[in-house]
Amino acid sequence: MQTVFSWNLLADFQSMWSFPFMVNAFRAGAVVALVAGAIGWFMVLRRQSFAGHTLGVVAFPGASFATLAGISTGFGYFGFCLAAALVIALLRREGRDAGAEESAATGVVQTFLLACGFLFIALYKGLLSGPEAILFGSFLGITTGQVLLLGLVGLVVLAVLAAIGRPLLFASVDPQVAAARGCRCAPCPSPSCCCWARPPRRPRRSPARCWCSRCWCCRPRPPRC
Amino acid sequence: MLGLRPGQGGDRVGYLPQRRSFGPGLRIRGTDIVRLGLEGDRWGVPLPGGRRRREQTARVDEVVRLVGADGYAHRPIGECSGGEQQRLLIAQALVRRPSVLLLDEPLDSLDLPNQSAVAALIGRICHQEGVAVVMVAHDVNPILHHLDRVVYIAEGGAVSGTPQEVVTSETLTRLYRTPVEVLRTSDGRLVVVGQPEA
Repeated sequence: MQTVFSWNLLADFQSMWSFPFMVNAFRAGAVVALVAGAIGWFMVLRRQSFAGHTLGVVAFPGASFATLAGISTGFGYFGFCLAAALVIALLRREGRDAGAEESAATGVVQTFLLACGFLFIALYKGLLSGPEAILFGSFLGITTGQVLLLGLVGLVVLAVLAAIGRPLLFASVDPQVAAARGCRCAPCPSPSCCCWARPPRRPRRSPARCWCSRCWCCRPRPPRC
Repeated sequence: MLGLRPGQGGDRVGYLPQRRSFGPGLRIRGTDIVRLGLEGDRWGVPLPGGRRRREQTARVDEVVRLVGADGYAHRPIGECSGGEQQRLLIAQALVRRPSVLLLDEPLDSLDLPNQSAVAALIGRICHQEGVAVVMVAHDVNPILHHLDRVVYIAEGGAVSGTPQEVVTSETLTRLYRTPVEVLRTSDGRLVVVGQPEA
């Protein structure tokens, strides 16, 4: 088996893919490329690149917390990423200066979580080669199980994106008109909510309280609901 | 509105918020913006080739022709001028065949030819499609000869009636508490003129 690259690309790929870790790296890279292509388009459209970067960095406190707590790093990673995404979405405001405010809030979340990551590493006095190993990771160390998990999560993400894609596009391109059509970007956690994307065909039992994405808190039903 | 509770008649009201422009970086076609007004709040991926899809495409084409935007509707909306964007947005508000069209400053930041063109378009649509148009405007001159009814609000007072009753020098001077003159051109149009700054 040759370990030096030649000008024969086919032979190069064949020799690379004779190593299982290289195959896994390519598989994981392919999954990430597919998902990021779809998600990234919306991220740029919504001017949330900084939020995307923050979520990438949040892997660090997630993984270091999982190491400290002795649980699987996957749980720490996805748990922290989901929590950080929810916090950033909660801090999102609509309006003219929303962009600057959101960037500042995202920056605060990112700094806080990075600091948490270093704290967890400092508290964990075990065998760690250094924060870089967790902070940046290495795509050459991906196991087959992790590729499967990544593929599964990627499928779920693409399915959810396909389901919400149109209202998301509408609310990203044209928030005011989308809101007038009853289609809001923020998810509503209450099943009895009156602010779902389509107005209910028959009047539901009027919920005493209504979740509104504008305020993101449970408050007495505004008259428009 | 329309005898329905607030929030119930959303499908029958077309709404055009005050000046919102799309940046030049937005690579979305004008027809797609109009289509979002028709079915942008539906879940899932639209399937190509269905009967519903063809009907929607036909409706979008029809409304784009109605506002006279067929020349540039296929271009990215970010590359269209302010007047062209405004026509496409009016098409978006009209695409669901609303009974009422709410327009908030539709002539804001348009140049003079575009102002009168969009005003004429709104007046034509109002009669041709049988849509009641309620609009807010701070500059009355471009729209004055298209109006059926005016509610003039200024300085804490309001007057309503037909343009001939409301838009007179005495009424507007009283409302604004500053001299305003209403002139009549040779072809019978009204023009509102304020005094130069003292």
